[in-house]
Amino acid sequence: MGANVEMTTPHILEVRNVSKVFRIGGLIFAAKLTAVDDVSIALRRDSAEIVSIAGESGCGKTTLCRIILRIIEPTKGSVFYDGKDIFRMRGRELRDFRKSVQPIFQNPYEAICPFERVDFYLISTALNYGLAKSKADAIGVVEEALNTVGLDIKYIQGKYSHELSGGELQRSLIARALLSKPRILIADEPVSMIDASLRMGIINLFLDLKEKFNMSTLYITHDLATAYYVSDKIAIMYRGNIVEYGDATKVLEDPLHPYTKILLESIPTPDPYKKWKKEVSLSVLEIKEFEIAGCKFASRCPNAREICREKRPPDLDVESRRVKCWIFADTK
Amino acid sequence: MENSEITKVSNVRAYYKIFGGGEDSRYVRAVDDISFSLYNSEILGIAGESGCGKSTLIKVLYGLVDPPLVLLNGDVIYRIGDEEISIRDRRFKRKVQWKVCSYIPQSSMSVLNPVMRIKDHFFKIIQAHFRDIDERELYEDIEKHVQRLGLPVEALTSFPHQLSGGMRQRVVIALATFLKPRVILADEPTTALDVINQRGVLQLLIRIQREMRNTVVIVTHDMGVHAQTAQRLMVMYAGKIVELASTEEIFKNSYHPYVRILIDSLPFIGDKKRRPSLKGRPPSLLNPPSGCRFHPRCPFAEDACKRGEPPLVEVSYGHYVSCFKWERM
Repeated sequence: MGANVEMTTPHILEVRNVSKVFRIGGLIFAAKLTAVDDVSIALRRDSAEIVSIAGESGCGKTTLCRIILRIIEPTKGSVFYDGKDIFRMRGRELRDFRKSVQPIFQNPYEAICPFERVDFYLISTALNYGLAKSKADAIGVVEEALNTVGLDIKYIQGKYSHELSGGELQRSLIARALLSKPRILIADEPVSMIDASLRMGIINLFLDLKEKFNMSTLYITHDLATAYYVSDKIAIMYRGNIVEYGDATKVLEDPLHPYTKILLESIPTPDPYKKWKKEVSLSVLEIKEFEIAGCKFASRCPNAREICREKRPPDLDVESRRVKCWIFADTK
Repeated sequence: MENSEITKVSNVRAYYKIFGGGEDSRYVRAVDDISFSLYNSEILGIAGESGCGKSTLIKVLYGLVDPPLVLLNGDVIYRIGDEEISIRDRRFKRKVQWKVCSYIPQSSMSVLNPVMRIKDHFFKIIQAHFRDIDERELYEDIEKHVQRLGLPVEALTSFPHQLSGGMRQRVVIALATFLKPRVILADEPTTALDVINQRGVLQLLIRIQREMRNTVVIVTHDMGVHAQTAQRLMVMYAGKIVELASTEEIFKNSYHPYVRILIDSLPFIGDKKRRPSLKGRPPSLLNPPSGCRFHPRCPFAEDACKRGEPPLVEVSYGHYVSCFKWERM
């Protein structure tokens, strides 16, 4: 664990060289799986920004999100919030961290107890956080949060989670996250369970929160189109590594890493006049890809060379972004 | 597209029965008075939000009408040569399922038996339809079939858990296409896969359709998948067809407000313009709204929309819309 850094750090949240290794299998034949491998990202302090972490299922996005939320500890590396190591926080400091960094989960119906009324859940959260002294005060706090997300307390009053649509319930849970007036939202696939017609309402909400309330969001998704729409920066993950990190428009309009290119080519574009041309080759996705000594994408990369299979590529600064690929080592 | 009809769906009402029987029973109107035709050698996409009845419609097309699902009205007829077979016919299961029409179910990742090798899945299905088959010859045919679909032969001797998600999905497609069915019904075939595997699986389905010249029905809520695969697209809302046309027409010239807003709300790389979102929520199919089912959320709704149900009318050749105000769009 790293020591606390200076208070004047330019980042409100900084993930520094974080790795997480899981043991899978039995006691004797256990294998190690590096779900997150030497990952560093940061959110700026001076102005709010939306940073997306995108990649295929199993690339380590959710593990990273859980580390940032201090749900699990990393094997290596540290996470700093406001200049302080979150895994060294105790007491009041930790409570403040919990208030300032709020999660939004993938499935809103699983994130809330089905036997609890939604308004009761929000009011009790406000009371538990000490945001209100009485129930009447708590109703006021909840009403303010609900108005921010475009809902009304009268609408959700007395309703259980199954009585609200996916979009309405996810909005209510975003309102729950907003109760403590956080600085950062960690949204783990917040719209993947929401119907298409309601999805953009939630995505637009993150933009509104950034513009009106200066609230940053770490948006974890596998959907590159919404990531492009909403985010300022994007980190593309593959098998635990960030392979490309930089300005979202630049990375997605002009990708450099071969993996980002293939990923972008594979998105089904909602335009029948732009159909896929060539067929992709599907290699068997092996768990061993997590343990490869060289670049983890080497077995699937059309530009792979000898060095790619033998040695882990360094993080290189290319065209104002960070790329993990040997191709760019020659040009540096 | 060869325009001969292979399947005719007429006035199908398939409801889920809840709260027991008798007069107390209530129905979830999952598929409510739907009629359309499937043509030879086409890829038809069925789009719609979760709970709009698209998976129920696929089940009815495959004759899987088991309680609590009941077929209250209408029929689905398959034309096999000169013969017509209804899903209500007792011979349907043996004559049509797998041989004429096969089904790739939702979450097909879990339809494979975990304690059976992949080759045994093939044997079991084929032996249910054809008796006295030489197993060695059959195995050779299976090997050729999986190789043609780009699967390694070793996959046949593997158990399902030894294969990746994309590979298991392709095995299910190989199973569904082995008997060269005329119609393949694929219910959310790529939902559980990541985008690269999704592309591989969809391209495989398109290649099979081109080679076998059969009819493929793909059900998914992902409009991008439809744009890439479907030739005709049917959009459902709350148990009804709201628009049916060629995919290009739907994306470029849709007339139904729901479809228009849905397409306008799709984000894509290269355009950061703010996208609209629909207000309200999809209606409960237990007690759907009167008149047009979309009227409570429709920005163009008028009194007529609340009173009467709009019929599905052909507004141009092969383009059907169910909206009183389609001209306004």
